[in-house]
Amino acid sequence: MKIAVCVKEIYNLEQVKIVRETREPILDVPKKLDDLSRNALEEAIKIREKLGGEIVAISAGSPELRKTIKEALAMGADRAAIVTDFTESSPESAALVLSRILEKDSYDLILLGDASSDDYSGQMASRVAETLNLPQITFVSEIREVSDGKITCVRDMDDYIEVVESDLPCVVSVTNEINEPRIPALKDILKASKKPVENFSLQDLGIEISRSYEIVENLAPAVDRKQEVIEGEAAEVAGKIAEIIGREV
Amino acid sequence: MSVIDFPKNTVLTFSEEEELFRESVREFCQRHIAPNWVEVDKRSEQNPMDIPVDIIKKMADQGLFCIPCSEEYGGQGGSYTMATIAMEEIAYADPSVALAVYALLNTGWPFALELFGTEEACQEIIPEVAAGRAFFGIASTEPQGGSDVAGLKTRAEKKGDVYILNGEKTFISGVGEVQKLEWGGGWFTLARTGGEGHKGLSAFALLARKNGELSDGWDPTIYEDIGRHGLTTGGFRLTDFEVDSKYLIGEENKGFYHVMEGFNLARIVVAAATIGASRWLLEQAVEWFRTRKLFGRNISSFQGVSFKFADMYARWEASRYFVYRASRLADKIYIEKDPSYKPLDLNVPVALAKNYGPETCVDLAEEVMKWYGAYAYTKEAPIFRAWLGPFSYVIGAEGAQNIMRLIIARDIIGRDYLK
Repeated sequence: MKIAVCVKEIYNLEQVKIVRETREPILDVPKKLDDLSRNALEEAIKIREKLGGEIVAISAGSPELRKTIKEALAMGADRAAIVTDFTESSPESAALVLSRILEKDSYDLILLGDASSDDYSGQMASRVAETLNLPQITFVSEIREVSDGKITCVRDMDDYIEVVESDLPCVVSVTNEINEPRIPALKDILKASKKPVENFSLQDLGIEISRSYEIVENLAPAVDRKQEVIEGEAAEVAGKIAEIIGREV
Repeated sequence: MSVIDFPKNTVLTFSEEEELFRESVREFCQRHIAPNWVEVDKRSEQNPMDIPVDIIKKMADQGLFCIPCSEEYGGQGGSYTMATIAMEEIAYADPSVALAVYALLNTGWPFALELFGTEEACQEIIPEVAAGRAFFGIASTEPQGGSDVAGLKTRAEKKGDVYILNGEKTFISGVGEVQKLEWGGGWFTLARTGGEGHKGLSAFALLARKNGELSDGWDPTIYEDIGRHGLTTGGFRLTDFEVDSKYLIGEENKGFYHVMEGFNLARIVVAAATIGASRWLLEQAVEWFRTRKLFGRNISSFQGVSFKFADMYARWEASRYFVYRASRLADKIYIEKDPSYKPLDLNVPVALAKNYGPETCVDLAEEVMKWYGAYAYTKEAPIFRAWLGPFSYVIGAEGAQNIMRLIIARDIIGRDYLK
């Protein structure tokens, strides 16, 4: 079983601060592997534990990706194939770059997170599947079975669930409910540096990035606080708070 | 999200692997330790034998014990700096430092065993400790005192292939854990095989329990500590306790030197635990400063508060430099085996770290409690747990503070000028 897991580097959102006056984010923070990418990778590792095979982490990003990809290798990917001169962040171009890397090898299964925690566009699985002309199963909360060239998945559609079977190869995107990703131990981290990483440039892949849209603004949402002050005796104030909670929640 | 934006640092820097390891330990701790540390401390306060075996097992599965030990013994094959990073992060998540002390004892002393012990003893003990099935710490203190190691009285008489030990050890960490963990465990200990003074001492791996079986002649007591409850403290009497000669650590009558090297290694990670707890305390303080108002002003607008905080912050940064300077030096000596560095080179750097880290932590905890006011004096606020736990290292666990000062003064001024 040869599994490709498309992973994404994102800014460590917990460390991103917002300039109060302008609402602009300060992005001078380290990057990390996206949480949903880790869910996808965890699922690949579970399949490999059952069926054997190889996991290849695929990613496109900034030069910092050479460092970030080690998280995927430490978690359990056997090797990586990456592009590190990709700074354009549109889903359209990202899907093209990932697909070109994927085309360089053949895979039984391509796993991704359903969306990424930063822009959450949720387009990657469908775009990659369409580019590679493969079947796709999205919103997967459980991979029930992988055998005899087929995969059976449970799709979480909020109000109902679907059980879907597809031939392999197939593109599958997972939700964060599917598992709890493992945390790499020291031994895994030390081994990660010795695993092979194939580094392509956009030129190697024959891709020229063109912008199809422009980001006009990237600001934190403005939240106006009600700043309601409740005054009075404790019992009276408690009653009013209970009333507001009952009304608002 | 980190409460404090720590200044960028180009002196105290870490490799990509070290940073990734810190992140992984931090994530593990946020998932399994930070939400439970207060409960662990409370439960074990009620019953010291209520040992957090489940968390110990999870920590073992994550590879948080025996960090610098060789992989052939089930260790993690990491550096001493990696161990230091782990202890700082564990104590940040459990500032009572109980779980960090469990991890650091079961890192420093198995590593000392690997440096000086027999192949057979290492093969038998270290894999069990790494897997969280056994405890392996240090037992040197006796009822007459802990600092006067050279004066200890427990005797070991050699009879054929065994040593017969008689004596008593007190204020020993792990007396409960060796009874409760699946395999058992014991300690790096010292007993007198020769004449008076430090040249008559030999080191042994003393296993109070192994393969789930208690050893004959080992009579334990559990003490009730005032803090750091998640790790037991106790004592034991040895009556004709048999130790196979394969458990002799290093050469006979050279045990004092081996244990002193072990102490240097353990003190680095003790200091690391206290800087982790201090980071938690600093964040508690800053969160409080950003919300607490007094006389219509932020409490930190009073310079009596903010200047004291600045002083404590400076001491914390200095402690961190001391700790990582010592751990990098330990890597040169024991991991990289660089011949330009010798074990004695660690004496002053380690004494500085062990002296400064715990004192900073305890002083900081007291200040944070005062800044919080009466709330900190209630058991609802957990700050006192981060005061009483690290306090054990100011009292003298792993070496009294004045012994650290003595080492610094002796090595800097010169031994002859202190007489």
